[in-house]
Amino acid sequence: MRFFLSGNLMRFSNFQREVEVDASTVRAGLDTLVEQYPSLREVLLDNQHQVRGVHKLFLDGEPLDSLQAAVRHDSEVAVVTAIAGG
Amino acid sequence: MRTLHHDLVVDTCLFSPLQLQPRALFAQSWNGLARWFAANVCSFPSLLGDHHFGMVFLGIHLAYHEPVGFFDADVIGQEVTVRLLRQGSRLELVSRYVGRGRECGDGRLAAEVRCTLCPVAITEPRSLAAQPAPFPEDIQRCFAEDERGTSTAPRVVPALLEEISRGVPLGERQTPFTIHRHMAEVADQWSFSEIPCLCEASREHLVLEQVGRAPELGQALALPLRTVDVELARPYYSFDRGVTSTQAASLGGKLAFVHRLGATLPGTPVHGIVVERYG
Repeated sequence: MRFFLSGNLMRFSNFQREVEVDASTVRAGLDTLVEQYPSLREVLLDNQHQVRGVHKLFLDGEPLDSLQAAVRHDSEVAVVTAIAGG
Repeated sequence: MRTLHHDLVVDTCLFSPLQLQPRALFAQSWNGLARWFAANVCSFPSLLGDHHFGMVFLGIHLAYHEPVGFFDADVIGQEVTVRLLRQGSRLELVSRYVGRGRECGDGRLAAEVRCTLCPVAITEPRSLAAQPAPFPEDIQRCFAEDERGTSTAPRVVPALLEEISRGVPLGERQTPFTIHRHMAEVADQWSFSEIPCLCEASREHLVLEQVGRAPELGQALALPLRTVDVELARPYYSFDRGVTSTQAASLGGKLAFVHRLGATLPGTPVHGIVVERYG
């Protein structure tokens, strides 16, 4: 699966916009992602290891219902920081 | 209501050949808000660093009034007022720009920028990610009684879109862009003062490409803007890619442009809508 990161998160991923990981669920993919880029962990996840409310995840273009959602090798998960306004 | 006064000594970059640059007015308005806050509430670094609050824009209205060109004034006086609205969940910023000296004499109102902002609580200090929240009481107490209100400015963009849809279409264009750091601020979030730049780039591309087919489009490069209205839904961040979808129309012989700021990531199809009007 492949993560697409919102621009404000890229300084925590060594400026990688797209990150490919091996995983069967979004949760497993996230674990691999933050293991690969530890700086992302604190920014992306809260103390309960849940995605912070300011970030929204989209699986293949659709809002993600559950981190346990299964993914394929060609699945795309976008991580979008979703503040209102501009 | 406390008004903050600040003089901008005229330099060439404040102006286009036609008028005060919208970009300059947007940027100065934001700086005016920072000045007003520093004088009456706290500095922006303290607001973000100590109070863990910031602000984002929801709507902006720029209106040009009397003509003021580069050679017409020595100084542009800025007058800033701020009001807290809806129990601290909204802020209204009004920044007026008055030319003084030379042709402007004692004062000529050049433009006014009126903004509606939303306070946001910073939930993660490293990324400065934030969520909408009313200002806390210690900040709200800094506003005088007559600087508090209930109602916010009505949304005008939907009505403008409806009106422009009844005009004569003159052309359209899509202009891709990337947000680079020179267009962004401390949190790698875009600077709202780039909005006029993105729109102007797309408008000028459209005009230069299509003026031969639709000569009235040339007015967009020959005449000053009258108003700019902005409604924002989502910010961009550094390195985000977007596209400005621009449509031009004639309304009773007067030009109007609608710009939809779109994105390439899902979940944020339209970041904002901008309406520019002439005449």
